[in-house]
Amino acid sequence: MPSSKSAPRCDALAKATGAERYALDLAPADCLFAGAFRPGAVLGIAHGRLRGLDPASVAAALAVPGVLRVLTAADVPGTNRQGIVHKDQPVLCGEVIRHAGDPVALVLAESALALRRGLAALRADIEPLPGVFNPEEALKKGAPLVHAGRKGGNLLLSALIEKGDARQALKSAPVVLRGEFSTPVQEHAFLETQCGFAQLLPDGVLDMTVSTQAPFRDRFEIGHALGLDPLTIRVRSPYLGGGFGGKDGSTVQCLLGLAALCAGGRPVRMAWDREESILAGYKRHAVRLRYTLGADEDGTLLALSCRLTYDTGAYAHLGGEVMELGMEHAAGPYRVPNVRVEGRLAYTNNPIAGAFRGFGVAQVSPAFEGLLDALAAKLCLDPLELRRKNALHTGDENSSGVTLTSSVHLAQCLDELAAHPHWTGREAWRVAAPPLTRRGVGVSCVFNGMGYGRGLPDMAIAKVELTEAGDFLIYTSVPDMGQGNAAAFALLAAQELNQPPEGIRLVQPDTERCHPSGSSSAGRTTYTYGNALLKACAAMRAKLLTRAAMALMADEAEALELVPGAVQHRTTGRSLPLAALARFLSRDDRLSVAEFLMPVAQDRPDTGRGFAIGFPHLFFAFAAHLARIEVDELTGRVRVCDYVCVTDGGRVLGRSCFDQQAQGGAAQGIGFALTEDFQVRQGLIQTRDLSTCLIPTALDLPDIESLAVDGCEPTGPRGLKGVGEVGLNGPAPALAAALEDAIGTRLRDFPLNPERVLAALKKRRPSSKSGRESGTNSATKAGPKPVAKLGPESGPKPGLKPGLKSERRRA
Amino acid sequence: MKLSFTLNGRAVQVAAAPDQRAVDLLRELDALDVKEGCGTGECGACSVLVDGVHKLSCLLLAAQLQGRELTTAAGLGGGDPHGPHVPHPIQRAFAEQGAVQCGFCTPGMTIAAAALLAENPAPTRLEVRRGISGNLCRCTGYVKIVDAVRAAALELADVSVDVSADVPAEALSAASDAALAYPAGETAGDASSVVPGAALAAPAGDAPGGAFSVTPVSARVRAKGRTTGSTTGSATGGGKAKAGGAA
Repeated sequence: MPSSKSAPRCDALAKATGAERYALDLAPADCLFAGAFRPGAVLGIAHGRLRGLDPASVAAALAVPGVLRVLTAADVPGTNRQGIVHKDQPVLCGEVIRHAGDPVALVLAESALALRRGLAALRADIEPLPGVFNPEEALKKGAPLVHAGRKGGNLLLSALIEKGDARQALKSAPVVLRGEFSTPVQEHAFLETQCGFAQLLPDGVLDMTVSTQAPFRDRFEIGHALGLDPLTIRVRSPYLGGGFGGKDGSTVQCLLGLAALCAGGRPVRMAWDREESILAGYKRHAVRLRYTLGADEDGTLLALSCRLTYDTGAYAHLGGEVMELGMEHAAGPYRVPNVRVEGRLAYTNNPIAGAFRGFGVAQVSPAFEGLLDALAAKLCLDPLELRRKNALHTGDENSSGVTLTSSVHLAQCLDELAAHPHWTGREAWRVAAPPLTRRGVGVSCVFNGMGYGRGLPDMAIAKVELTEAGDFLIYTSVPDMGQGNAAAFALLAAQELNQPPEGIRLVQPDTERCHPSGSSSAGRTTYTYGNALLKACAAMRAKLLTRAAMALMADEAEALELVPGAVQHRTTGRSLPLAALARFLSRDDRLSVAEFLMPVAQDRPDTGRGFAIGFPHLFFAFAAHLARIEVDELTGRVRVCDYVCVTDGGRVLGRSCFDQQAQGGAAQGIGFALTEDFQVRQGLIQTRDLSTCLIPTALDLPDIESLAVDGCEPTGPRGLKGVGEVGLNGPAPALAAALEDAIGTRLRDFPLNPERVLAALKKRRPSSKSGRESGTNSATKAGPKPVAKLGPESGPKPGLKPGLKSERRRA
Repeated sequence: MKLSFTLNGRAVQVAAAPDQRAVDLLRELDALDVKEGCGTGECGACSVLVDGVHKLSCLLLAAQLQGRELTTAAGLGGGDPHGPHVPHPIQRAFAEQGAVQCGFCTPGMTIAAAALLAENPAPTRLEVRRGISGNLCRCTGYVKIVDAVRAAALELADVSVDVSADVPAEALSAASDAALAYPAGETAGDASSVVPGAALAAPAGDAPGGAFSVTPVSARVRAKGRTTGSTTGSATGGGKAKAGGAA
């Protein structure tokens, strides 16, 4: 892959030299230390009645030199309830703990050491309650209630998408396939754990600097929980050391705010260590998926029906929105005339699930793609061709009933992949498998909606300032958690204002200086804020030209243009430096503010029921992925030899940054699919650190190849769409397909860990000489429903057709 | 206890508890480029050079710094101490090659790269991957980090050799890459006897579970144990003991 010759991201060098300052780096030296006491994990209790803190232990903690306060729920001034949509999560638990990471006390100390000792001294008296750890169990009658007395019990949300008549269509479909899938919890594992510092200033302002994706929303969440006027809360968000959704919503914020309120005006810092980050942080929802797909004999999709059960853990966080987005993507990026998607979201006593890149969609992707592959095998069709045949195009109606007036370049993604040597040369590569290994090649086709969706206006307000020094400040509003939006903003502004890179400076999000522009999430950041920024810059340019006209004695502003560092008269070449122009203007006049609202589907379809907000979406990024893998027959280990992503993210603004998103998303997806294997037993996390939560190292990944389909989304800033999320959705289905290609069995439970691969190999070994025909769709849980209409000759037999599936030979 | 050591070329004398972690002491000394990502020697974000050797400062005690010469990412570069900081070619390459996203792992990663290039000035892609395998990055997927380390290697190679310095180093690397079949190209089939990743990262003698129970990730833990003179308990067995058992 050619490395980008474009200018580096403007944030890159300061980060590489270590000069960049993250939230904790900015904490004053005289900070107090705050830490949460989370006894559930120590006691092995995920659901329990809190009888109280042992008073002797509190005394012991307070006796530790340097320990200042031990705060409990009784000390929380407000509602003591945080949450983005549902306010169901206590800042400090007073009566019940609902998962093992629930905090019951907050310790304030002079030093990290004193804090550690104080926390170690505390004891809680907790009476274990029966817990529920499986979302399907949670929805049964008589299941223990996670939130006692809650109307609706453990069912947090139930929703339905119904388009056409899937039941009827499935009855009459010539080919019907069924499959049951499961996807696991995933840990974000950002390198910078949740952290920040806060201080209650003399004027009553709670001044916080936090590693957060949503500083503006945080104010309301903190204000609600702690009984503060949001206007008295200032949140600043410097560059994040990774977020991926896990810092969308309060992590340390409410605890830190509480600590600051009780610190007598001193600054307080809070940083979760890795274990606490894993224990208390939000996770990707584990999901169980039951799918039925109906198709015509030529592979045309006719109907899809599925039932999804999402486990949101102890609290809602963004669970409803995550499931809704998953449902909206449940039928894949295909034309499916009849769709029925049922979604259920259950509370359990598991760790809290929330936002994670690929927001609910990473979970459905291996399911719809799994059945597409089963269909291809059943009909002896090339899996890539089958996808091309059904792929969505602009103007098509998608599975939610939305007519896609937006850009859709999925077919081009598939074309690129079809022509790729890894695809065209797959047979030769596969048969060259070394002894004791098997090789397989798989593809997947995925998409991801952009923005908040209808019902939750996706808006950003950009602010640009011409400084007295004659350069421009961009008030970025939306945090950069590493995805490069800040650098993209600088680039867009430099282009629009015709200034050199050094003429643009960024102000990191700060609720006091910037305008609310939503969260850094949902693939919306660069699209929405970028559009607002272009408008603000265009207005700034127009304003500066008219203001300069007088000084340049030009009658028509049209004769002037903005050039690097100055306004220039086109014909005479006379120019006015921007610093000089700034002297003519008051500060108010040196500002330009503009907003942008993401368009939504105009004719809202009546397909969705039970959706609270954010349905449906209009814009999608698409991608086609390819994986070449080698399976070790003795260990069951899967090695990813090659990986290719072709992404439709609209027009490419900066190729390097685009590839970063594709490669990084795929890397996380590969970890999700293969190695991370996050384990929770009876609500207790077994994967407690990075030695067991196996996120990929440099040795676990190939050189992921990123290709771009340079389409254009006319509504996007410079034609771009958000590409942050879609890359994560591809690997699980592509790797499962490659594995099936290698070993003849489709694994439908993730991750595809060595145990599962070995078990599948063992099951098949006795008949391994007979080729793959017996196993293609006979995975333990699901196989194709015997369909009378399908003649025996249509079945996948080896050698019958020169299709991909029938050619493989194993020595 | 009183400690004296050199930090990025500057003599430091400081009173510290001997059992204080080096990472905490360094950050107290305003070396804020030293990041803590895990505190248990897994992630490499706190990497520093101690007498030129790559170490993890979260696994070092302050007392172990006595008399040593420490280099953090901020000390990699050069320039007049009173003038502007001149980035190290590795740091510049990281920026230019797009190897930086959130950047939290980057200072540690550049330290690992510096240690690697000091030992092996013209590493193949696989050797780069092995060299940085003790440093986790959650953002990039590592492709551009490998690009960056190789680009830096080319720049750091003796420029007097040839202006088109990329030719000799690249040729060397290409030959080496082909031999190691990574990235897998047309030659992959020929070199398949190389157990990928794992065996290379952990020589067989280091792998009590036998070569087939080794995975790159557990190899990472072992490799780190060697680097730092300390292992992290559960890490070596970890989730991957299962693989051996199942086999």
